[in-house]
Amino acid sequence: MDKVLDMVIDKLSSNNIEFAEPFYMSNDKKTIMGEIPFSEILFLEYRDTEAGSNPREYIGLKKTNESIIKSLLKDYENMFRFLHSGIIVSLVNPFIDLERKLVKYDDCCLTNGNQTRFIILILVVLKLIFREKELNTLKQKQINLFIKNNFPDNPITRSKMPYIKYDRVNQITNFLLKNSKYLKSFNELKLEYFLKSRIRIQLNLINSIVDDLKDELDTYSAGTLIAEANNDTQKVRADDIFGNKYKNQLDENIFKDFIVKYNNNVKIEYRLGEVVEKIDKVHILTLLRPVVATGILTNEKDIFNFTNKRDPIYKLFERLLNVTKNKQTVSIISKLIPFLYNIREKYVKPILENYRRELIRKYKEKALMGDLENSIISKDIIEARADDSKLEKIIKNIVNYNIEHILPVLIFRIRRIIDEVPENGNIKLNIDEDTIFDFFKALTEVIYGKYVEKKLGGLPTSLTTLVRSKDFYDIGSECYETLIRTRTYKLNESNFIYRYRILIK
Amino acid sequence: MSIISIKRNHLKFEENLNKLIKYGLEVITENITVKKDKISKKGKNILLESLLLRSCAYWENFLEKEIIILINLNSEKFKLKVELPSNMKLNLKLIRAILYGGEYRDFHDITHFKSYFSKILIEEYNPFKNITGEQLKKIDIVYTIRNYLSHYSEYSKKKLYQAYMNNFNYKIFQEPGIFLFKEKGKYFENLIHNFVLVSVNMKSFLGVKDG
Repeated sequence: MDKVLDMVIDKLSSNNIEFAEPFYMSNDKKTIMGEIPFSEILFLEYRDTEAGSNPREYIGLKKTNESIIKSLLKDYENMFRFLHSGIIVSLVNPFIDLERKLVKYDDCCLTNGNQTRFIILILVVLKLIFREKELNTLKQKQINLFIKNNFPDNPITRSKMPYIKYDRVNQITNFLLKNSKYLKSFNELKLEYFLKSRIRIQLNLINSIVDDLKDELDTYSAGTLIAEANNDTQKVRADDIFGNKYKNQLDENIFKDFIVKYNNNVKIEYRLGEVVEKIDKVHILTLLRPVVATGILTNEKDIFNFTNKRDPIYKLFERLLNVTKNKQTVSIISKLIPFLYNIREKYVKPILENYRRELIRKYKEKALMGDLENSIISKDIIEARADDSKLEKIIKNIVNYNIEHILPVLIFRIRRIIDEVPENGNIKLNIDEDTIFDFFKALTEVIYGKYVEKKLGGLPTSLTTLVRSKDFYDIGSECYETLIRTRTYKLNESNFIYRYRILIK
Repeated sequence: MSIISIKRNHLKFEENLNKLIKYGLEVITENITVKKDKISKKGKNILLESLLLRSCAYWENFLEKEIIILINLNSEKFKLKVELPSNMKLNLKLIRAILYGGEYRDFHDITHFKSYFSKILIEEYNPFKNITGEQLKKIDIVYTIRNYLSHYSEYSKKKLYQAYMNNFNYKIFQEPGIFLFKEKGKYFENLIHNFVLVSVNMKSFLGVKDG
């Protein structure tokens, strides 16, 4: 087993692909095809490399991936390579050694087959951890300890091993524990044979491909283009495609000020799940959505409709980035993003969390008093009255919130008090620093309170439809009007947002 | 008049406790630091312990008043119990004098006094029967903590340790402040809010409506 472990460790830092037999190479040296052992694919890079970026992360044990694991465990040695369509990898600066059946490279991007690779990798890790012992679920701590005790402590280990997340590993473990047939196959699996089992591979040699192109395309763009096309028929999240495609432009323009302000304390996630380190992270949609709520990019009537839909948000920003005359607005948006994120983190998040607990207490009291008889949970409450934890669970279901539903409404409400500091062009709220917390508290609690009331009353349609409606965005308007007329807050409305607004069709 | 007094007594009690919970949670979640200076972890623990002690004081004060008002609503059984003539007219002050005048009385342990309440309160005005077993258990836990904080005796420590083990599965003893701080004040909130829910259950039994 230790020999096998050594081989796996060896593959971790390897920059070559070794074929099982002589392979096919096209005359123009753009394509290589053949068969390689599983061991060769364990640690292939797939994101943000010079050879491109695959928009698709490992999605866990969904239906298709379950079929992969089943066909793997049924017969990995003989049938698997015929049942699987194979993997595709883009390579940069390859060195082809026909004699040793070897291709060396500087960078690679696994553009197709990432799901299969992760399943194989997790099976290998499970086998290495449990060896002959009985399979069981793992904690991240146990996985980390296994890595620490067996793998060299170097940057490659630190960058690649965090891909192995306990929840993904446990999905596979639980699948095996529930399916005795596959558990038996797993228990009988011999790792040395498993790692030697073959899969078909197609290598795209990016340099030769790019050289012959009429359009000027760098290796990263060509690789990413291939990766996206390879994943076109799969269900890739719109977020991942947008984040993947516009990463550089977003970094340089839209998120410029955010990156300066948060200086790597908060990492931007361009594809969901890509940041695996224990560090504060924020997804691109979280940063972009509140900008739409300010109305800087659309008509008011479109704000309600767009803010809670992914695709229109990405389309808005895609168009914004593609027109050069938008530079001034882009620069304002870049300033708005850290400003709005700060509001979210410093005020809205803690206020919502504290108010959530208050609402749970309040509604528990109401439930015991019989004041929720006309709500959608009235029947459940009758059964749970004598059981506090049961009652709390029912109430929690109603009171729980999605910050993405509430924050845009709040930003929409305060859009007219967002202003610019004339001296330095920074963005500020036209409100006294001393009263800002109470101001946000009042407004956030009104919006959240109404949100819960609507849920309790029973929704005519879905919650998503509700949070996209004009009615929902009207929540808090009365409170806002009252607050701006109250002397305590000394609010001054401005037309800053409208000054820089561009309507993107 | 007395029903209004009952309502007032409950609302005051609930308001006091809710304010106390809110303050405690602000301390725990540091929302307070938006406006004020940071409080040390040790300081927070001490604050939480004192808030729990105060909740006990609110509870005892609430009970003291509640029992008097309930007897005043119908004093038939009470007069029988304390051997007063059935035609004697009682009022709040007189009931207070009879109940608490001669000796110090503390009714916080509802389980212990359940049968006594049945002897002095008529069925219709005995809301203590509406308190659930789970709620009584939580009051017991609060008082186990309170006793430890008031005495720091070996006996009270042992009792508290047992309560941690039996109710929360904790294998090691921890000071109440640390326990109350755990999981963003989950236990602090739940144990103190339990008093509010007890009050709500009693109110609901008596047919007192909010608003």
